[in-house]
Amino acid sequence: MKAIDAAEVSKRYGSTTALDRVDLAVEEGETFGFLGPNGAGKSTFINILLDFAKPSDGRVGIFGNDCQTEGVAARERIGVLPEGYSTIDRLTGRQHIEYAIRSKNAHDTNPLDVLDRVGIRDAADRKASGYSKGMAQRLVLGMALVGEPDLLLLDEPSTGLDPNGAAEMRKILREENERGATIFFSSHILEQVEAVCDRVGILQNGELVAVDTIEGLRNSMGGGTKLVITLAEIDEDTLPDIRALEGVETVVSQGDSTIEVTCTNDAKMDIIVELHQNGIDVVNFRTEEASLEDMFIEYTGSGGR
Amino acid sequence: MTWSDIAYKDVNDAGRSKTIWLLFGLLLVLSVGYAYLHRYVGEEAFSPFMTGLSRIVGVGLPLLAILLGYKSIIHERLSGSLLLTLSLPHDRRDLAVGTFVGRSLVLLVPTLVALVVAGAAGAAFYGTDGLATYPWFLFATALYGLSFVGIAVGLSMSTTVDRWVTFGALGGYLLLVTFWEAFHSVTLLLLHRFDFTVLTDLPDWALLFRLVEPWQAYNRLLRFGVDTSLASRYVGDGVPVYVNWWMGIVLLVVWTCVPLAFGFYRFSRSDL
Repeated sequence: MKAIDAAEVSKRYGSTTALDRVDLAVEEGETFGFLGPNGAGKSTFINILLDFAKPSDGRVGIFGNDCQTEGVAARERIGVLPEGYSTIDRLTGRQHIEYAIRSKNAHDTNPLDVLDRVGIRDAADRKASGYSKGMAQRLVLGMALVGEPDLLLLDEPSTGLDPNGAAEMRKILREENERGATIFFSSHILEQVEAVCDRVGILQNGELVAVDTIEGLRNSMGGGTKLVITLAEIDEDTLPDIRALEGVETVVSQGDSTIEVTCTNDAKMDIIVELHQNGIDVVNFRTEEASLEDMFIEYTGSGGR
Repeated sequence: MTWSDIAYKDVNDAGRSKTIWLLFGLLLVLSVGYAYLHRYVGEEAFSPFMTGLSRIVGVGLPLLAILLGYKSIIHERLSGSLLLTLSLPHDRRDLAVGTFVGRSLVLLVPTLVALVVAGAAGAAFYGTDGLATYPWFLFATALYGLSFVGIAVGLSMSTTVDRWVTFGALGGYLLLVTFWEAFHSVTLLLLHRFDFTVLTDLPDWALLFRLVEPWQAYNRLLRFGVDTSLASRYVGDGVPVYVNWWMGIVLLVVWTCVPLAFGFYRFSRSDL
């Protein structure tokens, strides 16, 4: 059974299309990163999963339960960190966790253990309205963890966390995944997705433009190898000669005697041999993997839009 | 039955508001204070005391109920704490019922405590003759309070525009508590082309129209159990059967449920 199964999900607000026929299947046990620039429709999709919003078309289920018609059953097996929440006015951190425990019938859970795990045990009996954004984020992650959910659904989980906090969050996600939980989280920050995800979906202007493993995305980006070569000298034939080689995609001169070549893995040695045959000394060379950032920019047009 | 989790949370949350407690302190002072002061304004017997007390409750309780309820859903919705509740395995119906039950408890428990204290004081001052009807008075008061909680929570679910809810709460209070009689008279005059005799000789249906006001329905209920002069127009020869005491219950239940249902209808169909 699929953890998340979306078929042709669309959401329109008047003439604006926030989601356009999104098909997505997330397998049980995987960690799935939902990537896209701000405003691409990530939160809209998650809001439909949680029935905060109704889809204009299509349907989506969580473990086989329709998110709209069987919402309670769908949410029984998940833990959620939504976006744009606020804590409940006058309840303490501990009472928030207790609310989650009561709601999920997880009565053998000790709220202090949960708060300890997310690192805010010291603040257990303070009103959550006085928490910083990072502490609130930890608190709601704690609520999500209550009852060992089969699926963790996290919308921009690292918002408000310092680098340390983000690292702890990733550690918790990894532990939960090892326990057997499926993880689905959205982010516009690439490193986080790269660090923990098995598969990635890239959303752009409401359309799911790519779904693949990170390895697969790299491969589809043309081998994903970048060669940075420093030469003793460059003459006018050098660049066209390299460009003519099989497997080479782009050759860019960096102005001085350094050139950057993107190519398939197999072509790397051919380039060096070609330069050598042309009598050009290679002073230095190194290879770089294409970063997810490059892929992201490639897919979405611009990184920050 | 997950609404009980939400009601529990709601009591925990709303029950900590200092404003609410201040208002209930005021209610306690008013009702017990009235028990003492009644001797100066009315006949020194228990039943007249209870009638006087019901006047204070009639004005004060709707105010408390509306203040408790009108922000209940919209505030959570606009601030985002609603998302936490609806991320848990609760649906919107649980939320509506749980919030209504929670706010009702926060309203009624302290109110009934204050009235029991006031009743005990009244019995001590004015004798126990008529004390047996006091439980009925408490029951009618509870129904009366619930109707305004229903109106307020329903209103709070019906829109996301803060201003409308505030105006609606204020307008609802003024219409239902202050101006219903005027509204009633003006409507009758318009229908009868300003023939003023209609106001002294009400047609049968107008009696029901008058009874729709929660305060009148409440008094009609009291008239059944308690000897009160406040609802005398609904008893006697020739009044229609549909302004009998049970209509008081029907109307108060309608005031509770219809706004809730309307608010829920709009709430359940909209995106958060």
